[in-house]
Amino acid sequence: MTTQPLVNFFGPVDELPAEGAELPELAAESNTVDRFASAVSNSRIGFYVDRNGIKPLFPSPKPPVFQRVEMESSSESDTDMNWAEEAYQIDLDGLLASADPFSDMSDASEPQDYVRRFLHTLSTSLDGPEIKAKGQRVPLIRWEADESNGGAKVQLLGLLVADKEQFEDFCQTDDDAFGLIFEDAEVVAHGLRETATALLILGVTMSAATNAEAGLFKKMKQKRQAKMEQVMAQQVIQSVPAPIQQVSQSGWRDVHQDAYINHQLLQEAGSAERRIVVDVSKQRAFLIVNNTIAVDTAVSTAREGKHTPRGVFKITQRVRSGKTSTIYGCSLPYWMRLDESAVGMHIGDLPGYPASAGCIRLPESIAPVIFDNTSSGITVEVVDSWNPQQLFQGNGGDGIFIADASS
Amino acid sequence: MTEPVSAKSAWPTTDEVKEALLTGTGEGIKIAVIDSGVEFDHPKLANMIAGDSIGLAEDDGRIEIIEGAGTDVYGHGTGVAGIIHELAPKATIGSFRVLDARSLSRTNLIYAGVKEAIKRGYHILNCSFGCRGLAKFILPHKAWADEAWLTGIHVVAACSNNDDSEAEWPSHFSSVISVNIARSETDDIYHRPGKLVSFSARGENVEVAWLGGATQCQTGTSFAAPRISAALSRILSVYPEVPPPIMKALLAEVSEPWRDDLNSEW
Repeated sequence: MTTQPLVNFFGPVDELPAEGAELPELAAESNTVDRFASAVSNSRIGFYVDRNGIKPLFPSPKPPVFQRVEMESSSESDTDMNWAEEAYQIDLDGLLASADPFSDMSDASEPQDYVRRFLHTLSTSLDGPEIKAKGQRVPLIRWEADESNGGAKVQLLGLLVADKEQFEDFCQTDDDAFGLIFEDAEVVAHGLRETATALLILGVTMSAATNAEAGLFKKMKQKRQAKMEQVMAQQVIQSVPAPIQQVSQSGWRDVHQDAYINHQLLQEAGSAERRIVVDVSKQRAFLIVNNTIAVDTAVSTAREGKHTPRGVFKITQRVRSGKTSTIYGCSLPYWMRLDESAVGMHIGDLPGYPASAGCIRLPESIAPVIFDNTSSGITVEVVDSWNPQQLFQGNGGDGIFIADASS
Repeated sequence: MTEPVSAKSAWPTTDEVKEALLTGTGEGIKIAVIDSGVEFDHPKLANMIAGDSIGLAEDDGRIEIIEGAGTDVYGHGTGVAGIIHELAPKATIGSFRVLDARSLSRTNLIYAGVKEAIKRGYHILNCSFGCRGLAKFILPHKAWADEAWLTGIHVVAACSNNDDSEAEWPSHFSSVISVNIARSETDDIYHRPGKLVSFSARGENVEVAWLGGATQCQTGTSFAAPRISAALSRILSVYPEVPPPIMKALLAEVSEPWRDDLNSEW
């Protein structure tokens, strides 16, 4: 199924096109990263990196301001760049000057080594909680080697904020216009799959300066892809993990921990019809694919005094991250709006009883699964009560997966 | 804390070790799974004697040791624990969760986790992970590996999946029993002298326990190392006084000699 999740960027506010302005025309095959980079190509945030450390190329009296923008992950030329509410002044010079990791250059000798260390330092410095964006923040740069002095010039275009799946997508792209710069993880588990996926993405570089550099990145990408393909071909899941149990990494509460996912069905579903049913009385939601339950999860709907509307709705808006409630000011990750209402589905606390202000809260471990396996326009049926046996009608019951089935 | 090694320890002969490998059950031996946690209620871990359940987290540079938080967040540690339990059913298995939900970690977390396991008297540390072999990481890893060695605690470590000659900590410390994959369908342990990673065991296409009560088919040195940990616990359950240097020598003696056809394609 084709989805078009939003990609988040932070761009230097002085270089971004005005809100609502048309983006520069690019070739049809350009992707979201190309389009963002093109829009901020004149960024004057630059650094010279070499054995002696990092020096600003264009000293500025005040730290740059980075504005968060959202773009659809799409190659359509009329892709919008939507300005979000947040903007941050970031003292890059200060962060980089105080960064410790760059003081140890003993394992760097080539310009690309210095660029890698620069990116590592920058990523580490930007890893603080003050920037509100879920996902990994990865510097987006252009760079060129300085043949005469052995260093490199780096132009910082902004930050790309993406989750693991989005980066995996970027890894799979055939676009040679940009390359991903990797670094091995410090400590990694030694299952083969873990080894193959343990590369950390340090940065995204646009238009490598020389063919050799382009070749290097391409080679890295190919090597990684080959390893991944080898691993994936070898992996055979013996049993469907159900129910899943996951520990929240960011403090969202789910007292149930009893969600069921039929991974095989989701993997093989392709463009099959799918819909969501929310059973308010049981406080459960079901993602139904091809008339079979693919996901069965606890939810939390409206608490006493509030109301979750019943009826048949369509998902009209999807925002993976960065969405905040205009009424309550709280974060609404994996937001899926129902019709034109103020109600939607999103990650939230599940205390074991109806607790929301009207929205349908989903567990943190499940919302991404539902988000990634649905799209705008699919039906969400919110009912007082729903009997999964309805799915049996008309097909004799074959192929039906019920939540407590072990198959 | 485990007592320092006694010079009067009774060491078994190689024949006695072979016998212990067959008859030992791991009873009375505590194995610390330094990993992504352990799903203690996994069906494959039924009847396992559960030790500590410890989670380690880093908050603004401070390491927090959380009692009861050793549950698995990825699946890898459960796989490791399942292999140990299968081969040493009476060993006590404790979880020291240092790897995160991406199966990654950092040196300071490993250091703190291992120190905690040493403090709590574990006899064997199963380390199915590796730290990049950069000089800047060597001292903290060497510090805990040395402490284990000096206090008579056995460290079993998986080597790099890419190449066993690729430097990694702790598998490239000579005090450690370091393990590679052998292309083998048996429970045999193989020894190849003259290498830092000198032991090998089955670790290819192994059905292992995984998160959520599931099982998966997995490959990796991660799943070879626990076979050696289990073997050590079987020996130690009969001869608990054998110190690490003697154990490494004895294990080499009782292992099958390496053959080229055991080379894994991985």
